[in-house]
Amino acid sequence: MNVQRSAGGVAAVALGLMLAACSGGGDGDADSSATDGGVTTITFWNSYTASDRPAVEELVRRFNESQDQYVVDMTIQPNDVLTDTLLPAYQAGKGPTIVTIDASLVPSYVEQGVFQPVDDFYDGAVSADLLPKASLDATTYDGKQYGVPFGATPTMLYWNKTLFADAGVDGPPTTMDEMAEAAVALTDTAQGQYGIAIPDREAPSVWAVLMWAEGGGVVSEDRSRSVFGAPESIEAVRTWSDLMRDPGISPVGLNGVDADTLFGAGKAAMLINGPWVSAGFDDAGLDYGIAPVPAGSATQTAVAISTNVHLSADATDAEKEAAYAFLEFWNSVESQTYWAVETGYPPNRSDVDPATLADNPTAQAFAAETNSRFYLGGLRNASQIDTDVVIPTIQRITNGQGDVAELMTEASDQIDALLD
Amino acid sequence: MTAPTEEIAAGGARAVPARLPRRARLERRRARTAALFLAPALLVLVVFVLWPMVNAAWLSFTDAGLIGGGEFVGLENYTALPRDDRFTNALGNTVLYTVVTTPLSVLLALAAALALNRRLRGRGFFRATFFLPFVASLSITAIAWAFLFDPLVGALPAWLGRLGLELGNGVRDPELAIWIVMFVGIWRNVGFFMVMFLAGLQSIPRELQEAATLDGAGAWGRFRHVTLPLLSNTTMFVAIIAVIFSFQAFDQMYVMTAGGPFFRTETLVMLIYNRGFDNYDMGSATAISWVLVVLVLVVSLAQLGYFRRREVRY
Amino acid sequence: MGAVPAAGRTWSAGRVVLVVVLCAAAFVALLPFLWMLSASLRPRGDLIAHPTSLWPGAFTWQNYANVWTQIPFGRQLVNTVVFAGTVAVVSVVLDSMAGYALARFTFPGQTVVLVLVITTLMLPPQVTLVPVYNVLVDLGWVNTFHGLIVPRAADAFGIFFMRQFFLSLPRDLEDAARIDGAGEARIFARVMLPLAWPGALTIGLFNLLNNWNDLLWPLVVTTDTTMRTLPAGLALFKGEHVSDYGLLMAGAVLALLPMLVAFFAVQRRFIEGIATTGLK
Repeated sequence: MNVQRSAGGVAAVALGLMLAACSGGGDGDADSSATDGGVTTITFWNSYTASDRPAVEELVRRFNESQDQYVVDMTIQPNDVLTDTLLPAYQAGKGPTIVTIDASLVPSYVEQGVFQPVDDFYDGAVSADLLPKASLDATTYDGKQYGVPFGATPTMLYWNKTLFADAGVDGPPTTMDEMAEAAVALTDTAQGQYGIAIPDREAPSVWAVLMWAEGGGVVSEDRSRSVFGAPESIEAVRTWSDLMRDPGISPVGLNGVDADTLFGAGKAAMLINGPWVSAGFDDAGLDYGIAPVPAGSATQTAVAISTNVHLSADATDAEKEAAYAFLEFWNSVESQTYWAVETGYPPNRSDVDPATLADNPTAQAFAAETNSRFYLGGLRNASQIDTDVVIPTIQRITNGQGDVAELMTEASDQIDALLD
Repeated sequence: MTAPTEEIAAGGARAVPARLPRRARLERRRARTAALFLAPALLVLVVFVLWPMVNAAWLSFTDAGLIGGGEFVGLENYTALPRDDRFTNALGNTVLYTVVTTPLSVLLALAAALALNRRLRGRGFFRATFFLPFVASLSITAIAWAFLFDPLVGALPAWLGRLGLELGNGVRDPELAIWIVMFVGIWRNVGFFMVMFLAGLQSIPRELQEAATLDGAGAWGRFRHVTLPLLSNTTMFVAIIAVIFSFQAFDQMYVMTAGGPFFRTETLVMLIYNRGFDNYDMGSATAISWVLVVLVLVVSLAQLGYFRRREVRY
Repeated sequence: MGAVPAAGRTWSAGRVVLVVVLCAAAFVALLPFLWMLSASLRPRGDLIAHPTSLWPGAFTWQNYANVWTQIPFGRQLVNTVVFAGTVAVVSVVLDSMAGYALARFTFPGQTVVLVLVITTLMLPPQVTLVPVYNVLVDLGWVNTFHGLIVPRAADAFGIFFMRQFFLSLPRDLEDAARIDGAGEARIFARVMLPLAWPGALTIGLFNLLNNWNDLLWPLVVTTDTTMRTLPAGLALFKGEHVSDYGLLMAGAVLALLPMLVAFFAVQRRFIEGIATTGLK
């Protein structure tokens, strides 16, 4: 018998050959960036997919073409893939020079040692006072600044003008009380009509806005302790969850997409969200308005959404210089005007003339809202606090699974434990 | 042909001492051949699957984060689990999910395979249709199901409503959510198991069926005494795979419910993903993974044992 | 009663019930795909304004056109074919060999090997993702096609399935060939593999499918955009906050079609298999 010529032997040899031939060839061995003949190339990962992608690609292209010292090599991937692979990539030495991630994740990444501070960026052409304060606060950790704003926006109140007119309600509401009244007046559950669509997850937090309005919230301003169990928070949540149960101003258990779907289908009269939904509503032919989130007894504050650019801890001086040059370009008046008009995001810079945004009314509207605050910013355990404590608690409350005060006090203790 | 329902004892070399030397040489040669046949696949598995598994096992004894080594903490990650409400909840959900979806998917698949193994016009169309759910990415079809099941704007509740059936709050309903994701899981896998059964059914010689009919066996008799026993290899396979799939259920929950409402649809793999990639607690994530492996292993070994006694070898 | 068809088969009540049940089941199986098709053929505004109806209020081919222009669909298709196709072919060979060894040969430790193989199926892939990535980094295989393919070149599922399949094949032909003095390789290639091709085809199809639809693995192994596969391209239509479902579903339908074709091709072999399986 010819064992040597068995198929197994052949395959084993083939595999061995493959291994031998291939192990030398991986160009993934190269550094994530290089300086070559005076040109510094840096790698840039972000998750601006869908309709924002063309605008990002265009601006990067413009930067690369506008000068010949620096090249930005960009990779766009879905957000969850990016966050799954970022840390392993850094550990393997293959992480990107600059990357955008949601500001809530920054503290934990800083603690893993993968980012370096960028305080000196603000000594350059773009000073800190021109950029959104909420974004800057969100990426300040341990007294140092770790991020440069990339895409920042507040949330605002979308209201369906047709539904309001049909119900004879004046809009938009400017106080929380007015919003509650309007929501009740616009609700007719028998017809499947809802006054407002309040999601409990996978969306910019609406419950935060409701709580902040009355002086409550999840975590104190100095980030040291939980205020989720404070009387103001409990009252705000009780008011709105009671209304959700009776007369049922909003369906229970919505995620962000569900809420947007309801508003888009004309089945909910109000929605609090960022600028990205407006293009779809325009396509659907909705007659809607954008207004600042209503004021409560304590304050009028929207939730700030912020992705910022962070610099790899391994970045060399040359790469840092290239990164700063790109970020100055990104945050220039011209680039930000283009960005706002193309995507509906407000420009990062406060000195962009709103008149130049006339081509995109959404951008104009969002640029006018300046009272915003980042939800759970600067906290190492932000995502845990939200996903493991706040969201399930709200879900329990809106499903009528217990007493509001009890559930929130208990949750508050859990949050305090996570803040240590 | 040997009797199909009797297992041939392994290692006939133990039989007659007088023939030992030549038989032993033959056996050793065949063992070497076996090793060569196994080698390439095993090499890949060892380097790219087993080694990472060992790595994961090691991590479960440390307090490692997503990157960077951690310190040895012994069995702490494991002993913390019984007191961990999220774990016991996820375990309960996963067990329920498995107990419901496995028998249902396997039985439906077998029924479909039997129905589509005989001459039937449009058989190809039906086979393709039942298999289609497996062809597309579950992350995408789950989006479609989410829209279809939406209690307010979904097509399904609208149609069922006209028939008088209420779907409650659909996937947002704490009581109903798990049943909906189970339905999606069954929908996804039945076609795939059906194809496995079809492949197995192909290898049953028609002569046997015909012989049984000639002997006077009816359809059910043929099924019980000819088809089912001869199918036992495939059935064992499908049963084990079905359990493994159920224990690893993830995609449709991730898309449709995010494990909610308040963890009512959180399965073990969702918890593992959450611990590892959201909380960066790889120690706990790998510990839970290994508990899952042991659990599935125990169930699979039980199934292996059950079927081994009925295994058909020629 | 109904007419008796020419072939002499009567439409019994049982047969009618069977067909009705099959049709109902087919409808359930197809429902999400009807939604996907519908979403892909209507403009975004129509889907947003009328989410309940499956029938488009307005028709458009624009989504399909945009899929081609907004991502390098053609190249990603090629990448996916190379990746999934190679894995499918190689894994069929490796898995069949291993399955054959486990089914037909007795050797010390065979049960251990079998259990080990099955155990590798049980660990959720999310857990081994990072360790495997690190192995690839150590080997220098990141951003390479072999880095994508080799870790998938053999899989426990295929090995296990082929073992079961080989177990159920009769030994007569094998034994006859052995008595004739044929080498093991020849026996395997000329006798066993042809007998086992329904199983081999099934495994090939399964691995083709799995890797065709795999999103995470190619994205972990390759950051080079020229190596991107279809699922990665499609994922770009999914936004963090809002997605254009029409576009996403159009891409998904397009990505689905080759697999459907592959299934039909394999499935027809099964039909032919009825005529040839069994002892000759």
